Amino acid sequence: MIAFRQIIQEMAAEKLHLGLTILAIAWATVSIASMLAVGEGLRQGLIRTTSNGNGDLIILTGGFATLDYGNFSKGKQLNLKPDDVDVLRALPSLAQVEPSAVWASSVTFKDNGTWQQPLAVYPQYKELTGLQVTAGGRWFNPLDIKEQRKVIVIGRNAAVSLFNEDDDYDWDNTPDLEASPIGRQVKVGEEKFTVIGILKNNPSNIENGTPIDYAVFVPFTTWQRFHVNPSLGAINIKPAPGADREKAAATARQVIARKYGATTEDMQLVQAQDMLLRQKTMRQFLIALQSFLGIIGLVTLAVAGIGIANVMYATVKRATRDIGIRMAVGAKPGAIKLHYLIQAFITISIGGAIGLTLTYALVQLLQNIPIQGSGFYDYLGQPTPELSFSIVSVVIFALSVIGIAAAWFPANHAAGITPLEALQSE
Amino acid sequence: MPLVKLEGVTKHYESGDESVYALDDVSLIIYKGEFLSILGPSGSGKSTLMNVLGCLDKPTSGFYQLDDHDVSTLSCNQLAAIRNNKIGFIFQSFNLLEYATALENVMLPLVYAGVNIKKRRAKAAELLKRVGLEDRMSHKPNELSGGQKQRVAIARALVNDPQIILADEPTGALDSKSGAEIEALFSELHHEGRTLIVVTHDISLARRTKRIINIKDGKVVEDEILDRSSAIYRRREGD
Ligand SMILES: Nc1ncnc2c1ncn2[C@@H]1O[C@H](COP(=O)(O)OP(=O)(O)OP(=O)(O)O)[C@@H](O)[C@H]1O
Ligand SMILES: [Mg+2]
Repeated sequence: MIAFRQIIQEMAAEKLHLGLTILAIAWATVSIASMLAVGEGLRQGLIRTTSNGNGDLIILTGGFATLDYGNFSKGKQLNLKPDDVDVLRALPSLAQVEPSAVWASSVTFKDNGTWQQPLAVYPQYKELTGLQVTAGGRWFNPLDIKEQRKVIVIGRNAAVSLFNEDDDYDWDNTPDLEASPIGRQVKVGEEKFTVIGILKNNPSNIENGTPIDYAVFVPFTTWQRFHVNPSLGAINIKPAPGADREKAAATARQVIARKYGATTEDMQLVQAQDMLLRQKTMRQFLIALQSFLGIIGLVTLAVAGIGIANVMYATVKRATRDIGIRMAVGAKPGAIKLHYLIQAFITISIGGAIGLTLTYALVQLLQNIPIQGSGFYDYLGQPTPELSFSIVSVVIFALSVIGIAAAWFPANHAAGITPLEALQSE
Repeated sequence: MPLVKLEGVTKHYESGDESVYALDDVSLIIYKGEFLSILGPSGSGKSTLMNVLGCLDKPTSGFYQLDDHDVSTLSCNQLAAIRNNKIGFIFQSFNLLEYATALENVMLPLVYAGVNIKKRRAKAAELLKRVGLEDRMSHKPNELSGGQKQRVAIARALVNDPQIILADEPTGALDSKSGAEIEALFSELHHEGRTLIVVTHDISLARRTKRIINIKDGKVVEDEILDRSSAIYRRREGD
């Protein structure tokens, strides 16, 4: 019931207006799609940085009492001990519990030192925090633990600052290692350690914000060998899958507080920080950012929509006589309306397709530009714009809504003309 | 059983303090197969009458029955359907779609009738042949002469096999030779048994018709049957 061919012919007769409308729609599509893609890229980057390191852990630490209760008076410190881990491991809501301790000495090689003091950990710590060792080296093994070996694994940037001769160290652009440090001797305090592994670059943090790239690790038992009645730095907890994270954290605090005769009321004395919750807030912020960018794009699209409506009104006005002819030979108002809705649909489809193709090309281009060695860029998780399926869907949905809204009124107007009025126009 | 029955049809225009009765209490009966011309001075209401008959315009008051349908009560969509399959309208200014070919113009009513593309093409081609334009099918209106354009319009008016063909000054924009061709075509259509109503200032065209209605100031002032030998009128006399 629709003269499809004539829709095309009519459009062909309006090439200039049509071209400009298509351009406007294409531009609006590029702006909305690329803004959403940039937002998505940032979001994905953040997910990358936080899904390893301490990203999904609960970090349990001891602090100073702020309440007088039981064994604790105000200002007294609670020090976590290695055997605390055992009581926590008994809890079913916790999947993994790993202690870590800070060896309070600096790591040195010749005149160079590291920024971070060594962390004493068990081999399981690697899997817990997603550490990776570069080829040629290795991570701690059970024998290192058993024999309390003096071996050390070093974060990549820490290794560069220790072993590279070059003095002018650029924080934003870490140079490559000049030679493999595996097998070399470094000092922790006065003790000599052998380097057995260098970590791969990883922009994430561990513990309470130590960058993996700058961290240095020694076997937990080796640290114990050199310290009498030592205290832990933190206990890293991974809740069981499906467990209520908040409850798991509360239970862990409660167990530790009870063990030391303290109160769980004192939030400073036993602290449990859920890194995932922190990350969630960040994700929410990014979703908000993405929505904001999307809204800007949507406004652009709405402006394009007004353009479509205008051009359509003009087209209908110019075609009034033709509308009269169609009606005179039997076109129903609905057919006339459909005629202009289809015309708008075709225009928008072409504009949208061009816009999405351009955006796709743009995104591909940006994804292929190598940006490397920028600290800030790494920190953001090396974000690149991503034209995901959901973004394309959102864009198409927005285009459809705005296109229909823009075409509806001119099409209705066209359908409302009486045949005689239309024939007598001009 | 009359094909067209008008009773007290009035069309009233009010613009400012001016009040015009384009049609003033017109009553008229037209039978199937009639060939009828409407004459009258400019502004007398001829086109208004044709537009009412062609369901392009609604009368202010009065009753209009076309082939069993009480047209005055129909909705926009129903009127569109009537225009589509009962009426063929031919205009002085042709009213063809400029960017469509002759064939596409003739096919247009069939599009809205929901006829499939193959049948559309065949039927339209057949009618273009009928009006002598078989070699002009893919020409656009601006590549056709006035007479050819009007023949395309006639083919379009015929394509749905309408009950009634309405022509408002069909030769008004044509030179005398083209006009004569159109007149001959109309006579042929009449002899095929079609019902034709023609508004014209052209005496030679009016003489070909079998009945002349004269309109003045929106009123029918004369209704004259020219050829009582014609079968329809003989039958009516016998009634
Ligand atoms: N839309 C309108 N608004 C106001 N008055 C109108 C309108 N259409 C027609 N008229 C008036 O109605 C009367 C009849 O007009 P109509 O067009 O039917 O005349 P006509 O007999 O066809 O004249 P012509 O021979 O010049 O074509 C005229 O006085 C005209 O001014
Ligand atoms: Mg007239």
